[in-house]
Amino acid sequence: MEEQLKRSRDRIVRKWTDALLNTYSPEMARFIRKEKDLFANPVGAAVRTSLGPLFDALVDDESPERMVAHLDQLIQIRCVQDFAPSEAVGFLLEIKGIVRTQLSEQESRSAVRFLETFDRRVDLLVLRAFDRLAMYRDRTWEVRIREVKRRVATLARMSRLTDQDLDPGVAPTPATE
Amino acid sequence: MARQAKFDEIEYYDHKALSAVDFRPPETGWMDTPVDMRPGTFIYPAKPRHLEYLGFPNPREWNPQDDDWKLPENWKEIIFKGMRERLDEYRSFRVFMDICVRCGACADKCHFFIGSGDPKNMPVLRAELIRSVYRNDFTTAGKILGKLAGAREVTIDVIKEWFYYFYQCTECRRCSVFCPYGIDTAEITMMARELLNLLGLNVNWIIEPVANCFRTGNHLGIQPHGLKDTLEFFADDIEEATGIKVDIPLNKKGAEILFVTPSGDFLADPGTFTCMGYMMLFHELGLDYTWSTYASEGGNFGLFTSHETIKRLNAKIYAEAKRLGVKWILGGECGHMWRVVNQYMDTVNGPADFLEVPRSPITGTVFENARSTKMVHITEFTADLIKHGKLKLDKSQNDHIRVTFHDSCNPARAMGILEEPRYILKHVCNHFYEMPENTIREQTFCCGGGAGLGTDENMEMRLRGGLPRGNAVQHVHERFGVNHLVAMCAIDRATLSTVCEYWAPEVRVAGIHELLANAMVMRGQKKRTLNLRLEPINGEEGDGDE
Repeated sequence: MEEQLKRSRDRIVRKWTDALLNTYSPEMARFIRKEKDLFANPVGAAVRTSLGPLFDALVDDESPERMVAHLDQLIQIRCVQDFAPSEAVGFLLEIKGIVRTQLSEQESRSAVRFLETFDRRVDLLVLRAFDRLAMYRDRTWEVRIREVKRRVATLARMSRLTDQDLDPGVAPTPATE
Repeated sequence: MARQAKFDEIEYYDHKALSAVDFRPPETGWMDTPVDMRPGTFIYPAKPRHLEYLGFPNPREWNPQDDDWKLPENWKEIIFKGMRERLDEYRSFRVFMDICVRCGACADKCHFFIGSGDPKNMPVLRAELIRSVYRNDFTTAGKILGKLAGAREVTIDVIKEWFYYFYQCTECRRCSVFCPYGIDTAEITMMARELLNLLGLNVNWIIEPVANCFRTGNHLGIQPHGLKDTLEFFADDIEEATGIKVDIPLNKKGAEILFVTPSGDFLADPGTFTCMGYMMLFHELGLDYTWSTYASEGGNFGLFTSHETIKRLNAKIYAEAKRLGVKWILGGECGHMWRVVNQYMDTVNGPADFLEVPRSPITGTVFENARSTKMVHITEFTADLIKHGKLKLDKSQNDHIRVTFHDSCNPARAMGILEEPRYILKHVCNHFYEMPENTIREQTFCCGGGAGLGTDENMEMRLRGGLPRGNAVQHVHERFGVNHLVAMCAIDRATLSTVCEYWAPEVRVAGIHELLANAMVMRGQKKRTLNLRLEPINGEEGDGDE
């Protein structure tokens, strides 16, 4: 079954990408496809480099930690875009349906076992992705607090409110799995 | 087409339904898509007391998330009259309303579109929000053909849309670089904001600084004794780092030069260290200059409010120059201040005939480019000093840092200062790396917090807008080990610190004159072991990945 999916890899990844792009406006979806420059289109770059390797990782049954690494940048981006948390990672679940459409009804029935395992991998992936999303969400609050502190740095130092370095220079270390 | 099940519905897993799934997005016209005021994306409204202080219309408490924005009853009339007056007064506004052929060259150049994907952040469509109203009520074609000609009636929802999107434009003018007609999108935003201001639709992050500046001389409302204390406090830190007690000339009549810089550098890290850098430089040169407690603001949030407000705030600098009897004005590392000086000052308050054409007392260089405004950018002044060998610099003091330079939108695009900051940086540090060329110089990406957007309640929106810049910074961090981003704008220093913390967490932000002062060898200084942040120089602590 893995072999069959690998043979259909390009078609599956294309459909999965469609599902992801479907969460954006049509204008943005066109832009993401069209503009290939990493600096002119960082979202496009993140899309292009994530789903292919992620699909391979799913089929090859890599650990959830390794799977989610392929997604990191995309999640960091989607964390601050106009999505509810469920929408930000929800597109990942579409792979369940997409994989099933690659199989005939007959094949699906005989592949029940495989699909069960596959679905579980996807579920684990989604949970990890949600962890990453929450981590980046925390970071948005963290950087906001730090900015507000920096804003009154002189006052804080002059009034000896704090001896703490207001800008240690390095953002909070990402929570690692 | 039958309704399709979504992945979070049980029917989705039915095989037949699955094969019908179609991922093509539904197309809805932009005119029919109302705004969604989600926390994190908009800025809080102006407090009534600040509007009252300025004599601005319709002061009141209101909330963008409420249905009722408490507009004046005749709001439509006010908008039409306001548009009519501005179309008559500013030829540029009329031209920008008429001339766009919707070629789309600007569409994907806005950092907010790139980061958010919201089509109304495409400059062409953002302008269309107001152009559609212009067509409907000020052009014959629009009056006859209506929607067919891209016209629409102005409604409360349209006004809400203006508020949402015109306070999502940072007036950075990157899109204008790509416009074949040279449409200045920032000026469209400025006009839209002027109209919104007529209805009392403004944001506190802009109006409070404007009111403060009008009252006490600077955005932060620092009073004269507060400014004196602040500068003295900086002098103490400088003494700790260098062993030298610098002078603080304040409101000094008859000084040769009035120095004006954004007040953000008095209060907010890391701008504070750049401010110390100025103090050290001027002391070392023995410059006959003065700070002013009245003109204690280089920035001009009038630019984000209305032409009238630009004039009111800018006039204070020139009034103070006259009162003190200085010869010319030197301006610090600020962004939009230079757009005001370079492109509006001369017509709103100039020419400043009572001042002299700026001439460096150290090198004798005459700054011909400032012949009319009499105001010189500090990087021009400092680059000239270095060129003439007037500063002793020890680059190795900055050897522990690897630097890239962010061109601040206004100095780069509204003034063309591209070489001077690089010239200085290359003379004060050994490790300088450029970001990719489509993200610097004229094509520089905005910090996402300019034009009055640099507050924290809209952090989500700012981080979207900061993505293209943050992405390029992260790239040079990964490729060259860059750990410092230098910017010559107070808003940049404040907001890019945050952008970096999110998108490129190993990179910290500094100003040009901070690095210059760290490298500058001052006469009589003690052995320098601390930088201006009072951290060990070339030490292991707190410097990213060194």
